[in-house]
Amino acid sequence: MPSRISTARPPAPVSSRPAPAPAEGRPSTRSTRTVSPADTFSGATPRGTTARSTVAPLPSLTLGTSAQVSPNAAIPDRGTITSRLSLNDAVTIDKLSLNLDLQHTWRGDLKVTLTSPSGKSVVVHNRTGGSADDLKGTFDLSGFAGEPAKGEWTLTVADEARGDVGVLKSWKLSATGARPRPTDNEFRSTVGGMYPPVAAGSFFTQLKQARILTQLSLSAQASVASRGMTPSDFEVRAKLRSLDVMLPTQEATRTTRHDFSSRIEGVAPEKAYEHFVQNPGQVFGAADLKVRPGVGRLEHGQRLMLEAPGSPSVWFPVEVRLDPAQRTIGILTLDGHPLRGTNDFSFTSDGRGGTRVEQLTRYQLSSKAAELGMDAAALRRQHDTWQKVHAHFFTQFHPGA
Amino acid sequence: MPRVSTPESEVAKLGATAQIEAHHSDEALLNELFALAELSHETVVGWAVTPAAARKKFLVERSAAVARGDALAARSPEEVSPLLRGEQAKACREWATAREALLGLG
Repeated sequence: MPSRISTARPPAPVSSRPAPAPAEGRPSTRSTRTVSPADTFSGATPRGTTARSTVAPLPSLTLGTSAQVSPNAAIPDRGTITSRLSLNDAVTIDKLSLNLDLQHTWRGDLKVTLTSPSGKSVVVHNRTGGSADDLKGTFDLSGFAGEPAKGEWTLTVADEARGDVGVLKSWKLSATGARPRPTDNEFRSTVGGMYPPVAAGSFFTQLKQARILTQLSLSAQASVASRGMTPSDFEVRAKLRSLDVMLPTQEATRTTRHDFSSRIEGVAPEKAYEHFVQNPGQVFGAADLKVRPGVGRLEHGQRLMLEAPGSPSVWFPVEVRLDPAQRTIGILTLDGHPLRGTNDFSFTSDGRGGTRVEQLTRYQLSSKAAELGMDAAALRRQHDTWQKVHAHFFTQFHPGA
Repeated sequence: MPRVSTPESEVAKLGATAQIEAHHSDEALLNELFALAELSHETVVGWAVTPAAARKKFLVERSAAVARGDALAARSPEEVSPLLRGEQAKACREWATAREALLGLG
């Protein structure tokens, strides 16, 4: 593509490592299924394409649940009674035991059946024992292995012979097993709008952005080479202060949309939002991005460099916007970022006790120089970067992934 | 926020692309020098209430920050874009003041 802008001066930070919005990373290693370029970023109709991938299955934790009822219900001669109890914890059954206390004057008359919440039935006792009294003790019921424990269980006692009666005094169910763990964060990405992304802004603006980008790249390389010792955090803060916020131009038709979403099962939105605010180093670190200067938490109006190591290494200057009431985190690009755009995270209820993480990215390229490196591979890296961040949200609350 | 942002109409008068590029580089470095001076001033003003850990960290970083400021201020106004000479001189003065105060911390 012809360019009016010289990119001859090294380093050329966007020629081989074009920018994410506002940061990029490398292909995910946690995904069980990654999105191929063809899925999302290339082909004849890239706009509005969606893709889905998952995080790796999680190991289980063993836990138990139990409940007891004491119906003291009479068992009529040649009659049938039922009794119900509920187990409240979501456990996938490994072992289930029934502790039964049933008085009867002729055990051989009885047939006892247990039925799970899903409707599966197992015969616990079937007219054995002859004339002996009572049916008491613990029965291990391996036939329910793999069934979900949570829900209403039904015990059916049938007296199938004439002459004797009894009482179902009490029964107890104890289940041990694994909590059903989420294995999928339902990560999805959508690309739309202008594709591939293009440079926006006036010629002079683009020229300016290219120069600042080059200067920042030199600092980024020095930083990576010195493992963050150079420049100092003081200098980084000064550099950030000297930059202006660089939002997309009003040319809406030139804007690329890149949206991501995922779900964190069983975690309240407040908790997920707070995790991001309190642990920016962890969140961005999941995508191999270092936060400079090092900060303990995100603050409204705070400016940061997201440093991507590599060849060449890149600094992505951004400003943070927080809205705790709405649980949104906005990331705006600053001068020298290869992109001019916004990246808005929102943490909302998924309606099932978990969190829906929505990430809406809108950007244009800040210069023609940035355009040179913005190919399908670059967009895929951007996808992978944010996939890692979303995977981090998930694994943070479901450790072991 | 950058202290200096030359209007495009003024930048356009420079004519050649190479001069425009040089102007933008100069402007970015100038703004960095202003920012260093401002941050230094704020550091000095807030020193009394700065936590010990932050003080210690700054004192470690101070020599590098001063070196960077000195490097940016070493360029005379004549060496920068003609549109920025007055601002360059001003930034150098601000830096000189901030630098002295900065080195007085301890």
